Amino acid sequence: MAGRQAVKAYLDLLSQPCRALLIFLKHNRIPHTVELVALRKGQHKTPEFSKLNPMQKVPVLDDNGFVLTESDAILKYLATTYNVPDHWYPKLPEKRARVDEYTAWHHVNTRMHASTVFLQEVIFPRMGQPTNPVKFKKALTDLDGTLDMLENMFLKRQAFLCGHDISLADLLAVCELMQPMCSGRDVLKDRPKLQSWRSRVQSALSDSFDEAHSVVYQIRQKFTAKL
Amino acid sequence: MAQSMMLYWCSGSPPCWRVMIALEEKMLQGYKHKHLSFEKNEHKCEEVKALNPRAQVPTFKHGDIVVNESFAACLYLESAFKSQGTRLIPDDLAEQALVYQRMLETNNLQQKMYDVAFYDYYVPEGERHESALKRNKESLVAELKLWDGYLEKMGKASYLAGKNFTMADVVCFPVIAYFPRLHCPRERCPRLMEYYEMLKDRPSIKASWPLEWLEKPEGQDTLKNL
Repeated sequence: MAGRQAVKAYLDLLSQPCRALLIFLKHNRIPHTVELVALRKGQHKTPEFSKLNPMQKVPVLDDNGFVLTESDAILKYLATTYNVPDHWYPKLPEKRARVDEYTAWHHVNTRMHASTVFLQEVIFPRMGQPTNPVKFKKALTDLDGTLDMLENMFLKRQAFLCGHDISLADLLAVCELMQPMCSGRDVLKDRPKLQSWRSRVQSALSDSFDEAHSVVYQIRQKFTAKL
Repeated sequence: MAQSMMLYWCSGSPPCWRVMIALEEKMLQGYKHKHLSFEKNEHKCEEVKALNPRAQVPTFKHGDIVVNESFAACLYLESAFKSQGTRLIPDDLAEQALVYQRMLETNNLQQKMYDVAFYDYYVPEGERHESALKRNKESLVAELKLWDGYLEKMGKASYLAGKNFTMADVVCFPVIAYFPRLHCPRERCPRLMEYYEMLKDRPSIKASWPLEWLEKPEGQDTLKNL
């Protein structure tokens, strides 16, 4: 869509789906500006932001007045309306369905469990609430089950989650699985096949991956220095 | 673009690994591939023979263009995708000269490494001699010294052909990676070991790292007594 103005992305890079969005925008050279919304300062709860997104969540996309929430929807919208390589969100119905299959499963599986591990280990203690050992153990077990399914049901013998090439599924998944790194925890430590997959995703995303994850690396440094 | 590519490969094979590194560096993820088992002689299958009379891997096809021989495939990819991904062959003639030299010198390092590490695999039982293996070891030690000398001369944190990552590194790293894996004593090639540490986390290299090497980080100690 020639002559279009840059999209505006409201983000906090501590948020996994926000990173996925930023990586997608940068990697595909989609003209954009970033509006930082600091979650830790409660900037998502201001009246101004609530007007933009009553859900009070990030990321939010503003494409020249068209406001969209939910990273899943945002990524799919961008993949469809901008001239990005087909593999991100293939046009072929069966291939597209595979990506949708993953993203539908993603929210209450990969995202939920990896997020809980991170919240229990890093965020709650920061807010004065010590890690709940029972809840934490359960989160780790739940995540383990999710990783089993990621490996055996989605990845199988493929290079990426939905086939030969990288797609939105891999982008969303990798950002979630990087979150526990904030405490130095590598959830893929004992899973060589998923480690290989993560390395392939990182190689495909090159610089934009590390740039987006710099806040994770910073937190990890501070967290592990305290121990 | 990558969709029309097909790579037949075996895990851990330096020639296969170098093509995979090149594909990653040129941002050609998404290539189709078939992983074959060396142990089960799958590389000698009809599918490979149809494209490569030598029945060797890597066997590589880009659309209708067949490019076997790992060096050929690497050079082809750089040429066909020059402006995409990492520039692997520099324009500057003096730099280019060194890149090509080190690339082709890799054959020496590879062969001499095979002659020691895989002596029993390549030489039939009746033809093996202690004296031959000893000679091969001496030759490899000298070869390692040569490479170490190259890196020493170029200074700390340099790549094989200068201050940038080039095709020389793509092509040679998979061979060099065998030395720490097979327990080669560090003193035989300290600079190469530093180089290995520097490169092993490069995204294209991590992405194509042999799976069995992740599962079992230590290999046999065939180079222990070098």
